[in-house]
Amino acid sequence: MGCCRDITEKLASDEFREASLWKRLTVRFHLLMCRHCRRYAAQLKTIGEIARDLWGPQSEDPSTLESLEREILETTRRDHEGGRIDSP
Amino acid sequence: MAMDDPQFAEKIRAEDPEALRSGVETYLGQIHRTALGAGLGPERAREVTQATFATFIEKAPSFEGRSHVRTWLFGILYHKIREARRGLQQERQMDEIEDVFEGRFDAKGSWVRPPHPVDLQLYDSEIREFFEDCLEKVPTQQRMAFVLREVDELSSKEICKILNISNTNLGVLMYRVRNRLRECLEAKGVKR
Repeated sequence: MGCCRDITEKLASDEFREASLWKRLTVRFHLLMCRHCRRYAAQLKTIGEIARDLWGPQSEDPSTLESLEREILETTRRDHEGGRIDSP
Repeated sequence: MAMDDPQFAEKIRAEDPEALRSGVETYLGQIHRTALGAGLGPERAREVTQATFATFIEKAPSFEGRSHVRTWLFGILYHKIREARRGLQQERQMDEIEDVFEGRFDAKGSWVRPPHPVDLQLYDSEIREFFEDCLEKVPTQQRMAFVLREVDELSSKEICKILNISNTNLGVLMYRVRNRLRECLEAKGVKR
């Protein structure tokens, strides 16, 4: 068993994400019993959700992306036509 | 063709126009959103995205294929973001957030100042504004680690490769950025 400080440290540093089943269970068990750590864990989770909502796939504006793609691909084509004189 | 196909890496190296095009099409959105998440603002995010793909295309012949094309691209992006944000903040070895967070516990590691019950509502526009404010002060490397993890949802291994850091180091960055954000949001929430 860890103290609250250890548990929150594990949660914040993602240490338990790729940890053994036993370690993950220890954290789960602590959260079940400790409402402060539970609140902390829930807040960290929401922080991740807000970030995904702000910059996740659904945040993309299709027209911005389209124009950006066009610009990049045009530059590529120009480079390839101009740069390879000896290509067939 | 799958992006992790060795043949794809081979085609990138050979500057195959179709392979380069599909590399751009596959990752453009993700790269652009990550640049925005890194706090560059629309104009600079656009510039940095273009610069990233320009380098990707220019350096294609030297792509060794030892890492995933995506890892390589994100590495280029990180380099560009660092350049764009240089001088904005100092990266510190010791971070005051650690003292702040430590101060919440007693000697035995139990809460002295437990987290305040801030109602973090996902679609609350005020919270979203606070969120961007709070991230503003976060050092580039911490912010990148956070975005690569939470937004791009990459594995620790891949994030470490992109940022060129150890796994322990990544843990420290995540610990700092999440606590800093949480403390900042809590402070703003309490004032309301």
